[in-house]
Amino acid sequence: MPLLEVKDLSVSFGVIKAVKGISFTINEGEIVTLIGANGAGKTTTMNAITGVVKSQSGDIVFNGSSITNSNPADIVKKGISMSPEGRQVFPQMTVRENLELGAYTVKDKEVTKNGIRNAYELFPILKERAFQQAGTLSGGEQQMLAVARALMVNPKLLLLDEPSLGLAPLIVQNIFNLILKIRDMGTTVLLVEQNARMALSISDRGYVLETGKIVLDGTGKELMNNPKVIDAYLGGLS
Amino acid sequence: MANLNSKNKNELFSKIMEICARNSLIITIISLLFAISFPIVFSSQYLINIAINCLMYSVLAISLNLITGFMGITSLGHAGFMGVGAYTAAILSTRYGVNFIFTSIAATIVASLFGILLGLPTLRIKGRYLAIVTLGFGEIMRIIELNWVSLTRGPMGISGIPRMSLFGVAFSKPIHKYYVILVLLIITVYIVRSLMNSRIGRAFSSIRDDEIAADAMGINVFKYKIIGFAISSGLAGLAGAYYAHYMGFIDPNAFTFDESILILSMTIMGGMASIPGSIIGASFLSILPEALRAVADYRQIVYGLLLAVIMVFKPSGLLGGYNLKHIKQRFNFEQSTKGVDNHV
Repeated sequence: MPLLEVKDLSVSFGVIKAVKGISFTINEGEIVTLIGANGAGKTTTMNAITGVVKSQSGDIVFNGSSITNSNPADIVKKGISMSPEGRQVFPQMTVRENLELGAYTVKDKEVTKNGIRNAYELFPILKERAFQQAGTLSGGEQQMLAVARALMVNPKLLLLDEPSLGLAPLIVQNIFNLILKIRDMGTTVLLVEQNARMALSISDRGYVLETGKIVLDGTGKELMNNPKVIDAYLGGLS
Repeated sequence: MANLNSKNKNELFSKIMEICARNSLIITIISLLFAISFPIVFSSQYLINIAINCLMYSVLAISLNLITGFMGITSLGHAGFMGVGAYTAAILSTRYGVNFIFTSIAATIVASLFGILLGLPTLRIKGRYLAIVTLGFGEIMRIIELNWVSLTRGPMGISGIPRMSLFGVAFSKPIHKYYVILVLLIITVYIVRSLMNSRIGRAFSSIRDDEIAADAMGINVFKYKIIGFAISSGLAGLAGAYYAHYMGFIDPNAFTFDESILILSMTIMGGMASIPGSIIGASFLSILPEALRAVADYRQIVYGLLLAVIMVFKPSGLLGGYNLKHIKQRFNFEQSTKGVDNHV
């Protein structure tokens, strides 16, 4: 049984159909990537899974139970957490407060403490910056904070929306190494990326979204070698 | 050169803030002692009445700061909630002879119910659109107060509101009224402070910083906005109840749009999300018109000019952008030996 199964999901904003009936699955322990151009519906799909936007039709099944259109708080409690697009950290709050907020749905203080300890271990820079306002961190540090914050609840499934957005190539490499590390620690990852080459190279499987529909799927390697993907997303060079 | 100067000035200000943050307990005690001894030292009624204004507006500015500074919801109708509280207290005490203690509790509850009622349909709207709705709310309240003559006596206002009294002892002198509002201010500061240091407070700040991310963290944004709105309007209602008993007379002209803007100016000038800032802002803007009596005819011009100058030189407000708690934590962290796990 897959960890997450999305069946025929559709999302509209008013008259605009952002996602037009897509289906895909994520198995436990995998890194799965959604790639696609701007406006393909990647972020909307993510937001529908976390309940931040409501879907029109279709079903999302997580760990055997339907979470379609549940309240975001309940979905977080079930074990899905997201690092939103564009490093949405809370800029006027300290790094530590940001982390504490990541575990907001968990009332047990020990879990929060452990989470913070683990976050500092995984991202030592965050410990040095613990009492700085998150808005004063560099872009890469903010991204790390966003990921660390999402990991605070020990999610079964981590959704990462464009973690490489606007970061220097070296930092991007770091982030992707971290994603592999997080997977090896036992968290399943759904990745949304425009940096398709990088994303596919670390992914077990991938789906290609085009204007709200899935047009291709396969393993990371297959997609990387697919002429259509090379043409459209990898700049025509292989 | 000018640039260098402003940088030095900012550093100086940061340094002062750091000293304040480290000695916050002493500063609190000194200000409290000052506030308690003020009416004893200055026995002039005129000065005490100005001080009462400062404290009352401090309550209003802090209550507005709770939603505007801490949660990022700009309200242009805060005087509306104050009016709801004032009318609740006035009607209860003149018609039913209810004591000040109970009228102020009732005013708090009724005003927060109005806050919830306004919040339920409108808090899904954001930013400037919400500001317009709150502006509308303030005006609707004023017009209801003006026209529902059987309840509010309309433009005639309600007069003869009984003085505050406690256990049969009437607080007739200004000095008594002063201590009542001082206690109310301390209660307000205590409520807002402990709220902001709690889980709820963290949720409030996260909503201000980034609503979508807060939502994704599993924070029920709508619920917390309603809670914030209810508490903020309740405190404004409390200040309104005090105002009614203090003045002995209220009419709709006391709760106009100008009043809302005055409260908002105090909050912004004092600094967003800063409780001491709100008190300083409220006191400054309450004292200023009195201090400018000397220049009589030019009073309003000087007042406006001063306000503009302050905002140009310190756009984030006097204490805005300085989170004393963060400064203190950072200082303690830097002092503690690095690498030791004691701050986890």
